[in-house]
Amino acid sequence: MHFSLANKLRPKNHYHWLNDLIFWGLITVIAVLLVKGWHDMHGSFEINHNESLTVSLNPHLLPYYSLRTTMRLLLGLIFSLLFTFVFGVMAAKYKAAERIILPFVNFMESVPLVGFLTFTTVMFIALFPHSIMGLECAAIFGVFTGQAWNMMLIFYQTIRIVPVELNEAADMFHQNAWSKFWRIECPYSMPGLLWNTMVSQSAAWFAILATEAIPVKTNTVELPGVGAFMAEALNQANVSAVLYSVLALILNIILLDQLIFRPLVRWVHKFKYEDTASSNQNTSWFYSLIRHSHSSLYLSQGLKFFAHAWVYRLPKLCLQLRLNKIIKFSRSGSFLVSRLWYLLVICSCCYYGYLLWQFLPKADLIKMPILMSLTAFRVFAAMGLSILIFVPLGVWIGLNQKLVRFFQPIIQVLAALPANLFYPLVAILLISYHQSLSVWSIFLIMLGTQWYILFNVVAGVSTLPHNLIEASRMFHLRGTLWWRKFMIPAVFPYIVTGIISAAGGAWNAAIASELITWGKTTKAATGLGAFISDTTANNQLAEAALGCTVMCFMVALCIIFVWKPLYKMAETKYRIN
Amino acid sequence: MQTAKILLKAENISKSFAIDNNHQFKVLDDINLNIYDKEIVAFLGKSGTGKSTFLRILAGLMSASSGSVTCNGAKVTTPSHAMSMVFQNFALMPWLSVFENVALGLESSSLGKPVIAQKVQNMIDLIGLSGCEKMHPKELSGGMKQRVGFARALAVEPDILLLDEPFSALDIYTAHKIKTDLIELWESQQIKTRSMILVTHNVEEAVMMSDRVLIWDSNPGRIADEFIIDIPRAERNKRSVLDLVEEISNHHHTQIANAEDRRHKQLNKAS
Repeated sequence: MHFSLANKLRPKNHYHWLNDLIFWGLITVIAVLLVKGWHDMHGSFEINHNESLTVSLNPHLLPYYSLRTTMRLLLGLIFSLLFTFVFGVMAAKYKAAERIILPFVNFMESVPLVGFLTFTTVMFIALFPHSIMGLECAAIFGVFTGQAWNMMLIFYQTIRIVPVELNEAADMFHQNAWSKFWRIECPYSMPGLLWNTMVSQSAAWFAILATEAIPVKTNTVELPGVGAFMAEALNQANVSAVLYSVLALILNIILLDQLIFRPLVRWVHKFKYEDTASSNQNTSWFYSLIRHSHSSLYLSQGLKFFAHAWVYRLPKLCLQLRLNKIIKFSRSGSFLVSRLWYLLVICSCCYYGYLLWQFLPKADLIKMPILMSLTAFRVFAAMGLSILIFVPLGVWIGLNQKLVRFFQPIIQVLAALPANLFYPLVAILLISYHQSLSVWSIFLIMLGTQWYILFNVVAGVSTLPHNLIEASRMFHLRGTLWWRKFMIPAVFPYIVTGIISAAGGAWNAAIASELITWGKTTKAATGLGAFISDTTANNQLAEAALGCTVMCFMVALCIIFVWKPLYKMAETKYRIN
Repeated sequence: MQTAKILLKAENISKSFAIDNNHQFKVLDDINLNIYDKEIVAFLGKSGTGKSTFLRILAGLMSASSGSVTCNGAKVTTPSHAMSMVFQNFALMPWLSVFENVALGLESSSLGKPVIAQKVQNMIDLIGLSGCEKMHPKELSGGMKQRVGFARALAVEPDILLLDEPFSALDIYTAHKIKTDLIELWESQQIKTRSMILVTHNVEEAVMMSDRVLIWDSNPGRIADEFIIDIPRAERNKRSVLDLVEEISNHHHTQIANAEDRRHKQLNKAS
């Protein structure tokens, strides 16, 4: 009865051949571009011959540079996904792995990657000595560190909070661990994972802009890409080239958003566990184009067949190969194995810590506290200012559904723009008006943190339980009373989430924004970031290593004494359920 | 009864929501209602009949598409000080203690701190929450949470108390206890509330508590029937209201079946 009704209500001309044509056309174009990009990534490059690699400032080359940059971004995304699945599942399922993985990832999430560039580059060049792939890998690794930690953490967290009744239902129907993962845990965590991936895009772009022009030994090597184009434009003080590169970057971000993330958001909608009817507003032209093409029918049938084989056939095959015996065996000795594992971790930490201590120059140690506190002050000032300005704004937007619908896509695009995209523009202004960078770098850091706070607050306010808002109105809360007793506590967890996810980016920005070049002029603000940039540029590896170590130490302090307590408070006292 | 003073008056209330740019969904269709002094009125109906929406329009939380609400002679456009509300899912602020939650409505008034503290403490004692003042909602059972909800609503001494399915998230024993306590406080005039409106989908609850039961019908939402409960409250128990509950239930079920029929016919016509 219901089926016939549904069929009758479905409009005719549901599928159209034109959609197929556009779809396959786009796929072909993308495939050709990707193959071309992949081929060019393997060019030869001899680092030892002091071969220099620079990009030309010809704007006609920008589309090609965008392609190369996009290639790095996509590869970084693929590696991040792999990492997320492997380590997220391991951390969620094995206690011994969790104890090591979680602190490590938590730490890595906040560590500013830009400080480490020199060291990672040296490592990857050693891996691919005769190919440009070594440098490519360094950039891809940058993208990876921008997003992987964040993605893994959310995947781990959502796997662990899969509703109990879903697990019980699966057990009742005799699903094994493998099918339970693919049919329950994985789909359940998809929306969160996708959302976090999108949020991390700005960090990925930040990393790629910073890594495409890498100092190798004494000369800077530029990989063909938009980031290198921008760096070269800054070096040559070429205003129009800077503007071209900014434009290319924005277009690139929008293109990826339209072709990859929008359709995925629309698709992932069906995995949402809560049935909120009103949230079905995510539309994507590309998604509906695919849905309304004939190819989608065949494609989805093929996918279904593959999924069935993957979820149900594969475990049977493994059973026949008696692979489960190995798992059982490894579990039986788990106590011994986990103790050995901890011992190994502790020993290697001590050993490498000792080596590092030997390597560091002790003379510079004395001036580190001042540099540390200056940089830390800038980061905290930037966060405080972002909160002061953007929490009220976020609340104002979040309380009005119309404003949310209007602003959310705009904020998402703005948030995806990496903060260092604006540095050239700010550099031009600062240097032409002779302003001090020590103060203005606070605003440079804000450029990165503010969007996290804004969209977390908007999301938080717009998902506030409606009856709480009604209660606040019913009991006539107004003015400061309303902020104090209702709104600030209500959005507190979202502010904390925003700050914590912005933290990694903020340290990155602090490092990157303390030294700005424009042609022959250089502006520096005293701080750890300037110290690191200076020493890496002069190839003083030991000093750079000291800077990085101190920075890691500071970030760790910050995690333990600021973020964790805040997070705990948000989780316990201010949680709404 | 009909000669009693009118506390709350709703005239020609209609409400539509926009589905998209050119479609409107009519939730409420031309509703008129008077709430008299010293009465409890129950709104009975299945979900989707618009009774909660109507309650919110009466409360001033939502504006009607057309029509007007007057309370004590004044037009209601924003939440009125003469009314207060108890919510289905408690709507307590999780970050405030029981005491602070109850004080919420009083703090926006011009009363001094000691007066507020006194009033809050009195209400906490009256509602049976003594000893829980410092606790947070998370540490309370569902029944205790709803007691906080009642204390918070009653602390502002409203003329009219609006109850939006306050018992549906509780088990029947807890709900029964709170209901009896509430009626007792009301009848003995220990609370200053004059009248109440109870939204519910439980026939027995409606009959046991109210003086009038209004049956709601859907598509568009409207008041379809009215039943006067003329059994004195003191004589109401499971057995004495049985016939009335049966009558209303049967009536209600036929009406729901008819509504389903109409919906199917509409759908078939549409396709």
